[in-house]
Amino acid sequence: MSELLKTKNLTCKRSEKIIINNLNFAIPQGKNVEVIGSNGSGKTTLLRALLGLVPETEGEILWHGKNIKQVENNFYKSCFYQGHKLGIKKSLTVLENLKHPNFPLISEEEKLYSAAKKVGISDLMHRVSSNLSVGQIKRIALARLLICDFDLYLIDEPFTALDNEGTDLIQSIIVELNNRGSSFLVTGHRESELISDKIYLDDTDE
Amino acid sequence: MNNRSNLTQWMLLILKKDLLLSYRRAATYMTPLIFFLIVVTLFPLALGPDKSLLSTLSPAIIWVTALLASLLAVESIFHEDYRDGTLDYFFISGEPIFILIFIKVLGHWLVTGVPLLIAALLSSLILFMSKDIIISLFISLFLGSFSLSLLGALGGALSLGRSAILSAIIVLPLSVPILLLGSATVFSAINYSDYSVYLFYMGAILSLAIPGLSLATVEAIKLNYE
Repeated sequence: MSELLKTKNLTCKRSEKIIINNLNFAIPQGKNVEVIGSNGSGKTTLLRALLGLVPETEGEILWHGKNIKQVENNFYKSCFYQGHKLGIKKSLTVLENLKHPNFPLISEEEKLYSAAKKVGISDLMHRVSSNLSVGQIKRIALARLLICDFDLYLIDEPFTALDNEGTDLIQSIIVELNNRGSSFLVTGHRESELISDKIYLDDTDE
Repeated sequence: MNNRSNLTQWMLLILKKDLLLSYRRAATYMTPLIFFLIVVTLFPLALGPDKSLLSTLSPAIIWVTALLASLLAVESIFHEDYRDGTLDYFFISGEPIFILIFIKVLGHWLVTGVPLLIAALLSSLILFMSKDIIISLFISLFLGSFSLSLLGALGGALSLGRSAILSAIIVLPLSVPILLLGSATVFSAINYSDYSVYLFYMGAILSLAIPGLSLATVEAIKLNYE
């Protein structure tokens, strides 16, 4: 099975402090990797470093076997990133937030409604997002996963602020997208029931 | 399998989204606009209905007020996008970021600069400006307000996550050349002199500011990622 993304001796620093030290891992196509660690262990830093958002990064990141710097454009266009900050605009309605996500989207309204229905927010489509609960906002972010196909989804703590139903939902979404050939790199505080390889980070920097 | 988005689609997304957001939050454009109209109206009240005095002072009144009003909107350029994570996506778009930033500033100017331009034209009537002078005011403000938006973007980027007053302190000294050229244009028109040279200078500043300040703004935003 071909490797989608691979790191070789990845080291990330913030203000001279080593956050991630010599990390090696690979994400095979259609498979998932889960990064587990406590607060401050570097989960978010790892995701952001893979995307080039952490300036002090050493080591090599390979995309389809090629150094990511050589295929940067292709990599970015094949990745979906969802950080702690979801990029949901509070003054827009749910539908508008789906129509105008954080990347250009060419999708029929029908597909947006179908994604919203899947995550249980189809009856909130014309509601302004500032009137929604944290869990409902999180579901808008989940619906965004379904409206466009990407090779790799990098999701920071997707299970946070979701009830059991929401957790089951995200697992089913991941399985659905896995079946379409997509891979996931997700972070969390605890192991989920997700079928995945696990990376354990601790805050001793090793 | 990827989303195959291109630069044009990114530009349209940013413009459409920002215009929609501004439409939903009228304060974005109403605050500088109301500030401008109130301050400009205060001058005839304070100076009295002296037609010649008002028309002599009008270029300075309108230009200084437009500059201060544009500062009110500086913070809103990037603040929300930085806070909710939207700015991250610019950096992972795979497109030239300075072009995306320029489009963002363009959207900001359409929402804050253009209403100011219209308000300035209306204000020029209560300040007894003649038709020829109004034309010079319009062209100079058109060029100047866009340069001010670009400067404001740099100030906003440098003060991300910090006090809003910081962006004003950064932008004000840098905007002095635009203010001088803008008011000199209108004063020349009042004195029936050729003002085209000032407009050429303002055009030159804007031509340099579009790529230069867009690139500088990208670097300023990157500082917040370090």
